[in-house]
Amino acid sequence: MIKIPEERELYACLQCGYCRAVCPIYAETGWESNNPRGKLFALKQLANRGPMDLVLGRDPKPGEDFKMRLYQCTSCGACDEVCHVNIKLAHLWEELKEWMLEQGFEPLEAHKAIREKIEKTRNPYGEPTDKRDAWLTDKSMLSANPEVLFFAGCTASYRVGFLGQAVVKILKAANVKFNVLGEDEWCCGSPLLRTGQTGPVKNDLAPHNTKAIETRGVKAVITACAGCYNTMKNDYPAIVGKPTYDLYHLSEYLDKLIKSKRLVLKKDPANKSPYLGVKVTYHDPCHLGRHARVFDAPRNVLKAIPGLQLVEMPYNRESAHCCGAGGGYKSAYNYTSESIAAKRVQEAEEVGASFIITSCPFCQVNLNAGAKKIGSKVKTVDIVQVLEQFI
Amino acid sequence: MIESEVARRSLIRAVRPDRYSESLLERLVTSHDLAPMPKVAALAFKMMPDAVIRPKEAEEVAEVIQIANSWDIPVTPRGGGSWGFGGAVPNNGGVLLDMTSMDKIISLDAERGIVRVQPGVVWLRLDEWLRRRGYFVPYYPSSAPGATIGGWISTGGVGVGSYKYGAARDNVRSLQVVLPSGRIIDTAHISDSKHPSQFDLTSFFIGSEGSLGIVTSIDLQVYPDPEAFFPASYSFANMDMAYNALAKISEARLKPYHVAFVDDNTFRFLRAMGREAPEVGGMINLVFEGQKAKVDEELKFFDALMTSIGGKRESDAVSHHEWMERSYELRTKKLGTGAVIGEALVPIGETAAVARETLQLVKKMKMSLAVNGYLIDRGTVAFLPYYLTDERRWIKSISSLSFVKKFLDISNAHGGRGVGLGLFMANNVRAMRDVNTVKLLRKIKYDIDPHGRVNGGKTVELKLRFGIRVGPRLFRAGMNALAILKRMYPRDKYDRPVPGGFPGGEHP
Repeated sequence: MIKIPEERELYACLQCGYCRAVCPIYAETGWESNNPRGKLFALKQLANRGPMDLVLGRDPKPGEDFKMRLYQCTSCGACDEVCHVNIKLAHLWEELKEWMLEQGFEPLEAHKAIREKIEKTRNPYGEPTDKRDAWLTDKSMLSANPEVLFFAGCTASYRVGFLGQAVVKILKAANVKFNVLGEDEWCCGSPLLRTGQTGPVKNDLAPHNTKAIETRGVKAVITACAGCYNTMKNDYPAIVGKPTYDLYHLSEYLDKLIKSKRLVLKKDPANKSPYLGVKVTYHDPCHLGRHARVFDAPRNVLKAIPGLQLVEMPYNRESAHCCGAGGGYKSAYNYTSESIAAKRVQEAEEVGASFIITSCPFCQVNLNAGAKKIGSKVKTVDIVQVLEQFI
Repeated sequence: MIESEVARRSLIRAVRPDRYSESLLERLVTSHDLAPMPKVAALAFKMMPDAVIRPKEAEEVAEVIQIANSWDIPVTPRGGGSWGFGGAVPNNGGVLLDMTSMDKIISLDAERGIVRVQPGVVWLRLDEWLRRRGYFVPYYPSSAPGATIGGWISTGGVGVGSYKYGAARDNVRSLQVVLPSGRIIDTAHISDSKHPSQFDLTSFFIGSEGSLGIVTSIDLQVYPDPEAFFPASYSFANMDMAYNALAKISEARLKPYHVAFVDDNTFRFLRAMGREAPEVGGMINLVFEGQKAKVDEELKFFDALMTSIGGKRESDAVSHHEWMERSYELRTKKLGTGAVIGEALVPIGETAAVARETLQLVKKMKMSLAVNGYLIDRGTVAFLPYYLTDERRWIKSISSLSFVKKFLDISNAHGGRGVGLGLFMANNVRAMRDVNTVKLLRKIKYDIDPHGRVNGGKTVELKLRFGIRVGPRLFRAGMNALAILKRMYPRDKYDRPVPGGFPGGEHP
């Protein structure tokens, strides 16, 4: 007998197909087995295996094809949002990936490689641990008595250092005393949790990061990465208990700074911002929006920029379309991932936006790749890249 | 699996290899619709197709049908798969045409207010697309977030907004259909699509449940996005008062856009699930749309009417919530893990009697039930009861299915009729139509599709695996036996108690 997680939920599924209509992977492949409803139906057959299957000449069992279907998911959570009977689908998909690995299936090669790198170097890029804070060229900015700790995340640390630099520039402008974990900052574990490889996160990464933060005695932690934020907000408490610090996504912290007038935005001081005089739109990263319910803060920050012309795409906030990069999907299925991103870029084009502004480095990378794929001139930038021009 | 290698190769050539699948996984997940059929039902019906094909154009559908004809392979079209009567479920294997692959919005003729779509477009997506262009589609199934346009019009198409804007039949201007012979036809000429002066071929295919051909393109009437839109909910002390209110609304000189009702049991179920729900005896949800002045006038008029017959206007927040929940009427499925819907069109004056007898039936069958529905015209209520079930207990679950037949008998006795026939309720056609009409319907089917290959053995007759026909007497006897079996079991129990007890009976 196969024990399937959340088995009762499988029976609760109405098979209404509302999830089918919003699934970005299904929109690409079109196969029923690729959409949430189809996967739940297949699982129900697995949960319900019995002699009747032999009579009917079929033997539904978890196989490689089903494993692939589970991994062909961006963890965007759009299915969660529309579920008729409120099944926590986004969580279920992660649990099921873990369950498949427990059944003896191997993770996808790309995901296995990520795990190996994280176990060896504490980051998914395999970069040296001692270069973790190389992006921070001026260490004198760090405070020995910080108000906040900036958790840079692996991508800002090793791939897009300019994001981290923009963050510290903004914090400095607001006179916020901050520090970083440096070599003590390890991968938050998001790439492993989203691909069913939970062991290293539970045993190693989450306890280490939590201890490193708590040892510093800070009251607040900010991160500019939607993936790190979602993981620390929604996954860490179940692993390491209630945090002793307040966690903010950078956009939330900036919103606070602006509202309290600690951060005053100026009217294009260098008189050369490419973001003025054109329309810009905001893309909700799935992990920040649907998963962590941060919708208003980034919009408030953008609305505080004098002269910025912010327009919404038709699908925004809870119903925002995914960029295609999440859940380990881009690392395993890059081509389709970029096709999904291209569709999102087209939505920005349709509302006349020249820039997509987002709050997640993965969204940024993939949306730019999507734009390149279709020859679009729309450019995606991070919210801090925009904000740093107005301080 | 398709037995002949030659047939398989031909079918793959008709589409493309990446739109053809014989994988067990794919065939398994397309072998059902909304109805929670127990596995044992597959002994009677070969519900799992031999191959799943995803066509993109009418020509591909035509070629698949021609090949199927050459090799005697049954063909079943499937839209969103969100109906509950098996219309999109194979009864004898064969090819399943997954029509959701035909999901293009082809054109909008702004001058005539007509949008041309492929059948796999989802209703909600079409509405969103139109609203960005200043139009809207005011009639749609309550399952609009998942249901396809082709699927709904094949089931006859009544739903949200039908009260003011009519059913599919009133709004479909033309269809492109691939006939069971493989020929492609257009049902109307552009100049006579709104007022057909000859034989109304478009209407002929609407509600035929895919048994007369496969719809591959649809011209729909659309309307300018309204200036104002306002929902207003009114609670009543009991459902008899609410049913009376439906009658009064239908007699009124003004006409709301949509008139729906929700019974007290629905709210009770919701509370049992831990959700907030008003503690009322029943709710009537009115929705107004159009020019602002007109909406204001209608609101004022119906406010006075509802209040005069015992209705209490609920807050705007409640009204808005009720409107937003129009596509989520089965949230309570989680309570029993299963829910099965009956659907009948009932004369408005008979609604209270049908409701009363349905609750008596439920009590006898030791089940739990809630009802919702809406007006589709001044004289007719779409009455939708659903019962909770637990499909993990398969004998109880399958015996409970007899409720749907018994409920349709009640509605028939009061001059109503079931909405769907499909596979599971096909024999009900005999209860709704006289014998000569049924004979004609069958003759039409077999004249168009001599071997009954396209969605055969449904709608006008009931056939099992290997084409074995089941007559209405045998069907009725089987359903009666199941109903007796259900009554022999103890009362249904659920994981969570329902405050105030279960409808029609004591707390389990």
